[in-house]
Formats: sequence, C-alpha cells, structure tokens
Amino acid sequence: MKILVPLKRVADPDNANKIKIPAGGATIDTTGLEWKPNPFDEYALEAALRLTENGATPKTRGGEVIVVTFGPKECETTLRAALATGADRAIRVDAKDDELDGSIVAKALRAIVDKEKPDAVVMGKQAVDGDSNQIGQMLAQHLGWPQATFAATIEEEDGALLVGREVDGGVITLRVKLPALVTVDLRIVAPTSVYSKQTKRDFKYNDGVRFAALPAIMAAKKKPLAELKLAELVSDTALKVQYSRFEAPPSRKAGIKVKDVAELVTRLKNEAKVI
Amino acid sequence: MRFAFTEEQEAMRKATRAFLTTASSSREVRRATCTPRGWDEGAYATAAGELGWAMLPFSEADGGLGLSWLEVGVVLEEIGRALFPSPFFASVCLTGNALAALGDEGQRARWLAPIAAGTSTGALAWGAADSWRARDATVLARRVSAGWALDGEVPLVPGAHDATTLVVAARDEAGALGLFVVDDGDGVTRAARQTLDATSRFFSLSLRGARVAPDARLGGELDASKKLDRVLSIAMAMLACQQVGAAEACLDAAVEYAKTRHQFGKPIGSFQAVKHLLADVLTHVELAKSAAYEAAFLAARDDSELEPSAWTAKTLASTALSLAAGQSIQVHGGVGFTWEVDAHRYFKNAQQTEALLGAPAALREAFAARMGIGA
Repeated sequence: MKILVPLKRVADPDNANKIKIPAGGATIDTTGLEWKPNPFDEYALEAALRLTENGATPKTRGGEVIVVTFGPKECETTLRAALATGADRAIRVDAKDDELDGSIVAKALRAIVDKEKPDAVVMGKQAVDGDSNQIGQMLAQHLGWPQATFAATIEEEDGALLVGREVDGGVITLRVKLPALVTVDLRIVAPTSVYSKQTKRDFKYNDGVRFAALPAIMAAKKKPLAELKLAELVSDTALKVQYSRFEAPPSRKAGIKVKDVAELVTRLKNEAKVI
Repeated sequence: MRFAFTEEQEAMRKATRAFLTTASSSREVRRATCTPRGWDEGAYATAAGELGWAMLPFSEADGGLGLSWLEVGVVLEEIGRALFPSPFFASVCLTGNALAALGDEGQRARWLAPIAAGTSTGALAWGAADSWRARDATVLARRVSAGWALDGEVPLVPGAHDATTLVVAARDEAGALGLFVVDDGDGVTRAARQTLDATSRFFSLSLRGARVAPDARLGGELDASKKLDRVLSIAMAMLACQQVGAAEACLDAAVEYAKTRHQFGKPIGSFQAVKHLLADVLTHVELAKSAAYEAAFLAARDDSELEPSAWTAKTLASTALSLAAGQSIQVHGGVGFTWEVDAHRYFKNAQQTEALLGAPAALREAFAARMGIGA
C-alpha cells in the first residue's frame, strides 16, 4: 500500500510561554520558538508505517510511505525525522507560514495526491497550534474520496480499510473503500490499534510512536527529499482565512486565602459569581 | 573548522532523549535499580540493539555503524542526564572499545559483534577502578600447556557481574601486558558489589589459575599497554560526557525549582544567594562541557593530545557534577534530601563517577607531572 502522510511542524506546546505577540497584535513573533512535529501527525505516520509492514520482529516493509510538509527550508528537519522513523521519501512544499491556510494546503495536497496516486492519505485529525480540524475533510471533498475521521483503529482489508471511530457512547466502525482518507486520533498508537494484512492479529506493538534508531538517522540523509513550489500546485493562492488580530490570554491573578467557608461561599457568589 | 554538532548528531541527541524520557523516567529508574540485575533488560535491548546505540563507534565490518566516539559522547550525555541504568558504558566504552583496539578479525567477530548488536554485555577488568593506566594492572598471566593461567584480584570491575564477555588485563612472565577474554570456569569468581550509586553496577573478580585459551589473548603477545592506555583515555572522555549530562540535569532541576518555589512573596531564584550559587554551577558545567566535547572530538581521531584532554575533561566534569548535585540539594531545601526527589540519585552518581577512572586530585597531579611541574 502506498500512503501519503501530511506533516506539520508546530511550536512546542511545552514552551508555549516563549510565544510573543508584538504590539498591535498583527502577527505572532516566532523568533526563538522550538518546533516539533504535530503530535497527531506523528500518530498518523506511525499508523501508516504499521499499515505498510508485517508487524514482526524484525519488521519487513511492504509498501511506501511518503511524508509531505509545507513551509520554509527549516521544515526539512521535521521531514528528516520522519524519514529516520521509517518513511520512504519526503516532499517539502516551499512556502512561508503566512502564505498558507487550510484551504490552500488542502488544494495543494490534492495536486500532490493527483501526482503521487497513493492508496490512502493518513493524517492527524488536527494540528495542535490552530486546532482547526478541517484539512482532512476538505481534502477528502476535493478528491471525492471516502473519509473516516478521528480513527482509533485501522485494519487493512482487501481494497478497503476498516476504521474504528470513538464517539460518545461507543465505537462506530466504518469500512472505507480505497483510495480513502483517514484522520487519526491519539489512540491509534495503542498496541493493537493498527493491523496491515500481513500483521498477525496476536502481534502487539509498543504503546506510542516508534523511536528513530540511530543508524536510521544516518540512512535518512540518503532518502529522497523533493522540493515543490506552492505556485506549481495551487493557482489561486489568495488566503481564505485572514487573522485580524492576535492577543495573549489574560494572565492569571494570584490566588487569595479566605478565613473560613462562609467567606469562600460569599466570594464565590458575589465576586466569582459561579454559585 | 566547525565547532558545532551536525544536524545528524543533534537528531541522535533528540532521538536518544525521546527514548529516555519514558525508558528512564524517575519511576522507571527506581523500579529497574531495585531488580537483581539493576537495569531493565528490555529497555537495554531496545536501546543497544533496535535503536543502534551500541553499534555507533565500531566499524561496519565488526557489525558497527562506522561512526565515532563523538556520537557515543552525545548518547552518553543523554544517558547521564536521565541516569539510565544500563551496562552501556562498561560494554561499549570499555569492553567493546578494548576488543576493537586489540582484537584480531576472528576475535572481533566472536566477541565484539554481539556487543555491537546489543545481544551481549561486557566488562573490562584492568586494575583498581580508580586507576586509569595500563601500568596499574595487577593480574598476572603465566603460560601453561593449553594457553594461559591468570592469577589475581580485581576488587571493583565496572559492569554486571554476569557480563557475557569478560576481558582482563594481565601482565605475562615477560612483563608484557595482555588482554585476555576469560570464560567462567574453575578459578574464576565474580561477585556483585553493592556500591553507592544504584544506576551503575560493579563486581569483584578473583582469578585463581583461571585458564584462558591461546586464541583468547587479544592481539597476540605484543605489549598492549599503549593501546590499553588509549582505550582508558577514550573511556574517560566518554565518562566525562556522561557526567556533563548529569550535571546539566541537576542544574536544570535546581533552576526550575528556584523559579517556582516562592519565599517572602518571591521566587527563591530572585534572591542573590540562590542566583549567584546557580550561576556558579552554570560556569562549571559549561567549562566541563567544552572540555568533554573536546576530549570526545579527539577520541574520534587518532590524536596524541587525547590523553591530557581526557584527564582535563574528567577532572572538570567530576568537579562540575559534584558541585551541581550538591547545590541542587541545597536549592531544593528541605525536600532536596528526601527519597522522593531525584537530587540524591545524582549526588550518589557524582560521588561514584568521580572516583572511577581517576579522581580529580590524582588526575591533576598526573597532569602536573606530565608538564614537568609535579612533585
């Protein structure tokens, strides 16, 4: 199976306090931010790798995983990390972050899918920076493919994927015919969440995403990494989404000590107005 | 000349840290060090084998990756930071290092390749554990009809008492130093020793006419002193990298605590008595880091300056770690010496690694003597 996995780098949520908003709030100052792959995209890559191997030790690959990202040259670090983890080749669409929105990325991905002709697109359900949760759905619409979003389990069948989606009150199982698009949720990296046709059903993966082996980091240098121009993929590059203003959330005030329960109740009632 | 790690080396650091974040969390370290072996065999198999840590410095012909000790230094810095309990240092930096330096093709295929693959562990007994020189070897080897017989005691050998491959430095009747691979059998007694730091294991070795096959003397009968000295210098440089990682962890923990712990309405880090103390630790850690990186850089090359560089790195890193670990306890205050806070683990590691392969005072003395200003 040939799978395309879109990846996005996001500002490290553990260092969110480094995000600065210049006066006026027109942009976010990204200077000094540490970047890491969007966690849901890492889960998607893990799912794609599991779908293209036999789940034995040592594993045998039986397909191709192509990772694609949008952004400046520095984004290649994210792609190299994905190649070190097991992806076969990578594509970087050269673009500045402020040239992109969900609509443009979805259209550009459609052009890449048309060219690469994968059997499936597996991607994170959303990026943890914008939390938009829209590119997967838009891309499926553009392609006219069946989609299964928020996947917690995936099982490969002949010409189809059996996808388990966790919803309120239970699990919905969808069978999507290939080619198809799947967006994944965090439980997709549980030990028994993803099975290719070659993987025995009693095989258990380690919980979470796999770690890059050090030899693989060296080998990743030699894996192909192509560069495309955004304009080659999308004719209309006008932004559909424009941000008018950014502002930081109000800083939390220091807490206070109350003398007794009566004062607590009074303050909750009159000042916090929560009871 | 480029004085920064390459993109691949930084990627290795990141990957190593990512693995150790879960495999060597405080909880995991506490669990693993309470087991009889002292480390998690599954975690070590993954790290050394699947993730390829143990193959880094060895040639591709020997089952390695053909990289250098500089990359091993990067991994060891992370091991030190997380205090990962494992036989990595003893197996790769001492035993594998010695096998690669002295073993012939057959010997390397037999003993080094499994270490590089992470499927076996090793230990090197060269003398007292606080010695760093081949001339301190105390075991004697005498020729017997079917090879060699070894006699002597090594009170502290770094590594697991049941390490798969045991290499012993011994002086033969001609006065030449040799390295012998000793199989368990009559006359060989290994006993685990309890030491201060639970994250690294030691054992005592007693040899009473222990038989060694003729083909188990590494590299023939030429004197191996110079090569063993270089092996120990490389190990010393690697240990310095590990100490630097541990020192950074102590500093990071202390700074984080100083930012969050409030007293008199302010973070304690805002008081001069605390901030100056931490700044002092930072200068020691940075100095040690530069020295350790230089020693690792020279270890990656056939450089005659490795020996003094390794002495310097080990001295500065030992001093920095002892200071950082001690001051971390001070900054943490009352909770700093409780079992629940990890500061004590780093403190114990600092005391133990300081003595291993040369304590700072002895190394400074040796350095002075080398410069012709010693007593």
